[in-house]
Amino acid sequence: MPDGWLLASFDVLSWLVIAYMIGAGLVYLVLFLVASPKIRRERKLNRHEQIEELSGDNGTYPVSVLVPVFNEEAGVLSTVRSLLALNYPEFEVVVVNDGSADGTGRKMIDSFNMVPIDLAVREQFKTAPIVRAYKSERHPNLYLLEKENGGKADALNAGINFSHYPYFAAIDGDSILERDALLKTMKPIIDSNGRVTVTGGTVRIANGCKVVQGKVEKIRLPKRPLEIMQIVEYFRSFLIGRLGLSRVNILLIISGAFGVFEKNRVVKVGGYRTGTIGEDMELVVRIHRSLKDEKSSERIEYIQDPVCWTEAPSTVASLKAQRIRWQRGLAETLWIHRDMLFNPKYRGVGMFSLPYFLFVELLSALFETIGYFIIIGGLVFSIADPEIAFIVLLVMVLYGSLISALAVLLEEWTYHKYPDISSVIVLYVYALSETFWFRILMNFWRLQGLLYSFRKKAEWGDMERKGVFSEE
Amino acid sequence: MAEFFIGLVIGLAAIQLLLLVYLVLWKKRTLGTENRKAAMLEELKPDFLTYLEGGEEEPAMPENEKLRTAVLEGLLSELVADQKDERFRGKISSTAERHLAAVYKKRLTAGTWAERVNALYFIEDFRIHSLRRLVFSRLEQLPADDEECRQSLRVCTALQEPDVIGFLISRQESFSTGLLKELLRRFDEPLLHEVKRRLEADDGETENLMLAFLTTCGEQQSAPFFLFVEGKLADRRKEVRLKALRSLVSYGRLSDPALIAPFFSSEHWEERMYAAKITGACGLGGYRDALLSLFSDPVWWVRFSAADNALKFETGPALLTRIAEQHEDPFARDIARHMVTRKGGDSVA
Repeated sequence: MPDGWLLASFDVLSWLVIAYMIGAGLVYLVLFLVASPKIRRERKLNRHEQIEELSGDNGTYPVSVLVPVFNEEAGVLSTVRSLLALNYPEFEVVVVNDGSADGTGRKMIDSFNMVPIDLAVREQFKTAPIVRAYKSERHPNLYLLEKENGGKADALNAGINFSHYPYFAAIDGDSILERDALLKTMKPIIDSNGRVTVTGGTVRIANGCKVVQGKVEKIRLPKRPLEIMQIVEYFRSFLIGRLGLSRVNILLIISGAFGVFEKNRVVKVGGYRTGTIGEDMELVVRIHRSLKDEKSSERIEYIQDPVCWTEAPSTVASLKAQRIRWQRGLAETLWIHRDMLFNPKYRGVGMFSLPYFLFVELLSALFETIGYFIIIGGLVFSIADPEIAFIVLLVMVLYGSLISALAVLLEEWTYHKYPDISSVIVLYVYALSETFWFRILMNFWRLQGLLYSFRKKAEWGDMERKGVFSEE
Repeated sequence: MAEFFIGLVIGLAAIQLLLLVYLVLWKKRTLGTENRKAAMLEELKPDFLTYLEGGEEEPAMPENEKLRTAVLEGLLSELVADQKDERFRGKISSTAERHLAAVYKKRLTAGTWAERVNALYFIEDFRIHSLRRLVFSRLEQLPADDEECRQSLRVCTALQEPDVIGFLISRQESFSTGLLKELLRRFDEPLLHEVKRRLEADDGETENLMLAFLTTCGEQQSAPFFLFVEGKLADRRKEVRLKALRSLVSYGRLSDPALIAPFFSSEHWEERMYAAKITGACGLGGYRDALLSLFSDPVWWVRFSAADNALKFETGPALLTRIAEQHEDPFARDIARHMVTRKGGDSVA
């Protein structure tokens, strides 16, 4: 009898997992279908001509580019160089050194001839004290704030306090921007006369690329399988997920690596929330909340153009740390804004987007891990129906590998950033292999992150930087 | 049941594989075409430059229409950039009329959205006048928030289509001030006078085009419209007054300094801020004391502008140092100290 109960329980669980995977896969399909008309429409658009007009234009809004850094001595100079080379009429770069223990500040001061300045900061948010501020003698639009450690959100708030312009771009210290990134990202804001209040663009992985003086000179694939898989993963996330959500104004994530915000709106909602891990997502959800509360028609928009390159973790330990941090950040944001879940007042955000992030992004690790036990239990130990276990395996291939492979094809169809044919084939083959190793690793780490999310501690994370931007 | 899922996975995988093969072949072909185009561009460029600079004989173009169009677009785009010589531009325009006008006409009437928008970009760059009316005639059907509509407007204004003024006035609330400024910058002086005449005649509540006009006049320091801008300091609408103030900051002059006196004590902080900015921009030493009083303004931006503009006086640095050390108001001391050391960057306009 207990055996019968056990088998029946496994069966129910198996069908639950199958239904979940099919449901989640269908959600991806719907997002893909929502995104594809825009991708198709703009596929052959001349991107250079599109922004040519803005580059020498007085009609753009000035932007403060905020770069919070913590122990980023390996990549900060490349990041800042790429920012100083931006093609944008009026901007300032504010690097906020959040109490780094390494030589981040010293490198900045020495490399850019920075001298101390006195501050008259509008304190819109309370932050950890600013110890010293510097400006560059060589670049009149470059500043450095040295502050006591308070976390990334605190550093960004300090940057907002200091910034002089009505829009700010938040960029990670391990990322570099394409020369036209600000023009492309500000275009929806300019075109909409400010009705678009937040924008973000596609982030790509720079590992493997040839980067010289803060500029991606040659795009090529990295050698390590872990890094290649993350490229596939980014395609899937940006090309299928975010664009679809953005099309119906329910996008909840503007990547921490690069996003542009209307300062007034951010000040109005109280700035970045300190003490959180996923401060970027939390802020965007809070902005959505304020827009809906005000019945505002302002939008949060995502542009599909690849505009930002970031360094992906290259070791198992740093990737694990990153994924645990992301999962904790997601769980935390969903918990903070739980009253918006299934709340019709928040329309698409409450009825679709937040449930999507809860069930598809957060809990998929749980369902997939159960799936692994069913597969092993059924195919190896015969404690579950082998046929059903086999179906679970097939559905996982469908959900994991085939959707990722589709994202690779989509990237090739739209941007084809990788210049040689072999890169496309390599990416496709890696995508097909995703279910059998990468996804398993991710799911265990994400599950771990889910468990850790009950702890309360925000930190910068312990990602090991190789400094891919300074290698060549 | 298992068979169904096996079939599904194999079926989808097979479809994807076919797509992959298609994309790989497509990529191979595209790379080949790109290389051919690049080689042809290199080969034709010297002869083409000679031709555009006054040569008699036009270099032979590729037979294939698609390749010819792509090569010409590449060549002309490169050569038209930064080219100020009217004769040279005229020849680019006539070459485009000869080889590209028909192609673009076909694309505008039967092409996809991206083809139409790309065609519009080039029509503007190469000044293809024969397509001006066609572009204008399509405007009414286009949604205002679409790039195709915006680019059609850029084409019409760049090609000096007079009817577009009426269209802009009737639909001005649909367009951003940034776009309207872009469009106004494209107009020649006669059409700008026409815009001014229409704005004076229409004293309604719609003000987008007026705001854009005032700002553009200032940015271009356009002498014929200076008095018009100055006159708007007395406008009943706050936004119009603010734009006039901002425009005068760009002009850097005033016909009568007394015009800004009331703004130092305005109830609107933005007007006080611009009073400070104009004082600095026009070097109005007579307002030195009024400017100093703004160091203690309750609004940060006003204090900032007062300090920023005090620096523009010859005695500014010494004045700021004295305020930083001796002023009774801590806000004033603070902003003065900041300004003494902060030399880089500009304040918000």
